[in-house]
Amino acid sequence: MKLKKTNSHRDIRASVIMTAVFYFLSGTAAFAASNSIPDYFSLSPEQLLGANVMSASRRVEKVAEVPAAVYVITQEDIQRSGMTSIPELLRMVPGVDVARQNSNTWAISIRGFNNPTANKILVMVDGRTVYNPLFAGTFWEVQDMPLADIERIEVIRGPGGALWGANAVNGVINIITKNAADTQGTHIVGGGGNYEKVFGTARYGGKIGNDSWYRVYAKGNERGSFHSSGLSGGDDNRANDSWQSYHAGFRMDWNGHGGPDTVSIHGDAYHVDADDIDESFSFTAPFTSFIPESIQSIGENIVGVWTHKYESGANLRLQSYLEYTSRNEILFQDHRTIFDNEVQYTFQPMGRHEWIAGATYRLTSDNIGGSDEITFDPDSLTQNLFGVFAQDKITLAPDHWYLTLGGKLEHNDYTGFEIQPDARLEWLPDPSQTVWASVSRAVRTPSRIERDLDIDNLVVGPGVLFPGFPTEVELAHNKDFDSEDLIAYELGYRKQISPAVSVDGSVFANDYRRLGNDTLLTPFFVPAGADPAHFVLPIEYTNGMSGEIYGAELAASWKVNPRWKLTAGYSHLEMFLHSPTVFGFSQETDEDRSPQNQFSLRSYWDINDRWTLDTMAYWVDQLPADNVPAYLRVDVNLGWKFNKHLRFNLVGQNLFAPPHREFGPATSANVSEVPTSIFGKFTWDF
Amino acid sequence: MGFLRSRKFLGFLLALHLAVLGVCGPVRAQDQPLQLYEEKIKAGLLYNFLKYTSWPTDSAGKGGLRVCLLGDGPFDTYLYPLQGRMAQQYVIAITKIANASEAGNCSLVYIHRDREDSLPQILQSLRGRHVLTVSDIDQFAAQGGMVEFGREDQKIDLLINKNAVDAAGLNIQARLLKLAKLVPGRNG
Repeated sequence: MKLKKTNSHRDIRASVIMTAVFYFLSGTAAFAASNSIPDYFSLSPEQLLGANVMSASRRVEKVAEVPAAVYVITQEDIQRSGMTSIPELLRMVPGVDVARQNSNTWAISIRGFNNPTANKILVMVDGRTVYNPLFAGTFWEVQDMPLADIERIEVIRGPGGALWGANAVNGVINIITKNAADTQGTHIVGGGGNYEKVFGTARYGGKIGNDSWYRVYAKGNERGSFHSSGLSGGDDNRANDSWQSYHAGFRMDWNGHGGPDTVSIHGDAYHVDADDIDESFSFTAPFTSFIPESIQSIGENIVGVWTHKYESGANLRLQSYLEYTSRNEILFQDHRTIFDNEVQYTFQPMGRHEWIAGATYRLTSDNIGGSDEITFDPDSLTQNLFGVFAQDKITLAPDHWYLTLGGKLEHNDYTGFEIQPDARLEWLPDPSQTVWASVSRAVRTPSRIERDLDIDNLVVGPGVLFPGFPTEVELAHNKDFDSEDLIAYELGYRKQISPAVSVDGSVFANDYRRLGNDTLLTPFFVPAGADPAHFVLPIEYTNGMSGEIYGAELAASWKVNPRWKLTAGYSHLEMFLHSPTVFGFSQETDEDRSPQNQFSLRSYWDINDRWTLDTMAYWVDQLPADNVPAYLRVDVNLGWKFNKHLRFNLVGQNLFAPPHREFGPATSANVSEVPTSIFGKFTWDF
Repeated sequence: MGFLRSRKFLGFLLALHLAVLGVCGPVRAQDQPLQLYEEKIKAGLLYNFLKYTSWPTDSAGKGGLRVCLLGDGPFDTYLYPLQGRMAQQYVIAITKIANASEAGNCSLVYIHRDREDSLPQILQSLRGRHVLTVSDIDQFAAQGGMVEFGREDQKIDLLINKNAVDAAGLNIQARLLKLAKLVPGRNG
C-alpha cells in the first residue's frame, strides 16, 4: 500500500491558527456579554431572601420538559440490566434497534436503516463524537468504560442536527460519565462465565486539595465466540468471532471552590483485538476464499472542558479534544486524528427569550490503507468542518406554552454549506402532562467511503450476474455524492398519571431525499489476458433513493410498590423506500432489515434488603430481507448484597432459547448465532 | 410529503420567528427577580446576622466578631471578603477551625455540610456558650442548631430555632426573626 505524504504540515499550522482565532472570538464575545456584579453584602435581608438562586445546571431541564423523544438509561438501569457492554444496554430503549451480528459486531440504529454500517445516528461520550467519519457509523466493539462510572445515557430519537450538526439524522446517543467527585474510593469488579470468559475493572477515585477530584481506571474483557450460522464454523460449530478488549483512562474535575469556573480533563485509551473472517476474491473457482484474521483497533483521546457561569445568569462552555484511532484489518487500515473545538454560550434569559449559541471547528486528518479489493482516492485527507448554531426558547405563555427555534449552519469540505433548522412547540396543560410537536431538517454529509472508495476486485461466479464467465463488480468513487436529506415531523405526549405511573409516547413521519443507492453503469467484457476472461459490472454510489418512514414508540413505567418496578416499551416502524431496481435486485431491502415491531418488559424487584431479582424480556420482529426469524430474549439478574462493600450477581442472558441470528444472512461468513450466556460477577466498593 | 422544499421551509421558520418576536416582545427588566449564586445569598444573610444579633457584652467586642468556619465548602470563598469589615462597631474576623473544641472565642460558628455526620457532637460541645450556630445542613434547626439556610424551590429561606438562640443568651432582632420560619427544636 502506497502511503502518500500530503502537505499536512501546512494544514496543521492552518488549523492551529483557526483554533486560536476561534477561541479569541468566542472569548471576546463572552466577555462582552457578561454583566457587572452586585455587592451582595449591601443587599437587605428582604432582597436576599427574595432573590432567585442561580446554578450552573439551570439549563439542565427535566426530561419531562424536553420537547423531544428522549429516553434516559440511568445508573440503576445499567446495574439492574446485567448487561456488560454499552451497545447491549441500548436494547432497553424503545425505538432503538440493537442487533448483534456476531460476538464483536453490532448493528444499531434508531427509527430504521439498521446495519453494522448504520450511518444515521450520532454517538457521543461526554461530548466527544465517537462515530467514525470513515463510514459515518460507529464501531461499537471499541466503545467501553467502567459501566459504574456512567451517570446516564440519553437517547434522543429524531433529528438533533440543529444543535449537534450533521449525522444526527435519525437520533443521538449521548453517554455521560460521572463527575470525578462522584466516583471516590476503590471500585473493583471481576467475574466470568461461559461466554463472558473473564472480565475485570479497577477504578480508584481520590481528592487533590480542597476542590479537585480525580479517578483512574482500567478494564479488560475477554469474550468467547458465538455459534456459527453455517459457512464459517469449524467442527465444533464455533464462529471465528471471539475478542479481547482493554481500556484505561482518567478524569480530573476541578470545581473552582464553588466559584464561577469549573475545569474537567479526561482521557481514555483502548486496545481491542477482534477475530473476524476476511473474504477475498479471485477469477477462478471457488471465486471466494475465507481468511481468518484478528482486527486490531487502538484509540487514544484527551478532552478538556472549561465552564464559566456569569453573575448575569449566562454560561460559557469551551471544549477541546484530540483523538487518535486506528483500525487494522486485511481489507483496509484506517488511521485517523481528530481535533475538535466547541464553544457554547447560554445567554441570560432576556424577557421571554432564552438563547443558546455556539460554534464548532473540527479538523480530521486520516490515512487509509487498502488491499487487493479496495483503495481510497486520496488515501490521505485532511478535512475542516466549521459550524455555528443558535437556539431560542421562547416562552409564549409561562408554564404552559413554549416554542423552541434553532438551527445549525455547517461548512464541510465535501458539500459546502449545510443548514439544519428545527422548530419545536411544547404545551404543558398542567405540570403532569407535556404535549410537543416538531418539524426539523437534518442532513447526513458524505463519508469517506461514499466519496473516495474504489472497489476493484469483487468477483462473483458465472451465472450469478452473467452466464458463462465470472463477473467483477467495480465500484468507482463518486466525487458528486451529495448529502442525504431528511425532513422529520414528530408528535409526542408524556404524562405522569400518578406518582407511580408514567407514560411517554411519540409518533413520527420521516421524509428522506437523496439517500444513497447503487447505480449501474454499462457492463463490458474483458477477454483473457492478465486475468481470465470475465465481465465487468461497473457501479456507482449515487443519491438515487428516496423514502418515507413512519413509526411510533411507547414507554411506560409503573412503580408497583417500593420494592418492585416495571418498565415496558413498544415500537413500530413502517419503511417505504423508492429506488430503481438493479439487475433484478431490489435496493429497497433495507425496508426489511429493521424490525417492524419490538417489545420490551423489565422488572426490578428488591426481594429484601440483601437480594434483588431483575428480569428483562425483549421481543424483536423478524427481518425478512435475510430470513432472520423473530426472537424472544430473556435475561435474569440475581443480586446478593453481602455487606455495604461487597455485592454478587449471577446473570443469565438469552435464556430458554436456542442460539439464533439477530442480523445478516445465514450464508455470510461473519454472521453468527447468539447463544445463552451465563456469568457470575462480584463488585467490591471501599 | 414532497411539498416542503427546504428553502421554502427556511423562509417559513424565519417568518415564524419574526412574528413571535413581534408578538411577545421583550419583557421589561423589572419583571425579572434578582438572580444570585446560592453562596452569595447565604453570605449576605450571614452578614445580616452579624449586624442584627446581640451577644452578651462579656463575649463580643474584645476580639471583634469572630466568625469560625467548621468544615470545607464553596461558601468560604464568598465569605472571606467580610474579613476586616465592620458590624455593630466590631471588626469582623474570619477563621477556619478544625473542630468544635477550638470554638472558644468564636461569636458565630458556620458548620459546613461535610460535618453533618458529627453534628450532634458539635452542637453538644457548643452548648452553653454564647455562640450563634449557622448551617445549611438539612434539619439543622430542628436538630438543635440556631440558624438554618434552607432552600425553597428557587429561593433561600431562613429557619430559626428560637429556643436554642435564647438558651445561648443571644438576641436576634425582630427584623430578621419576622423573615424566618420559627422552628420548634431542642435548645442545643
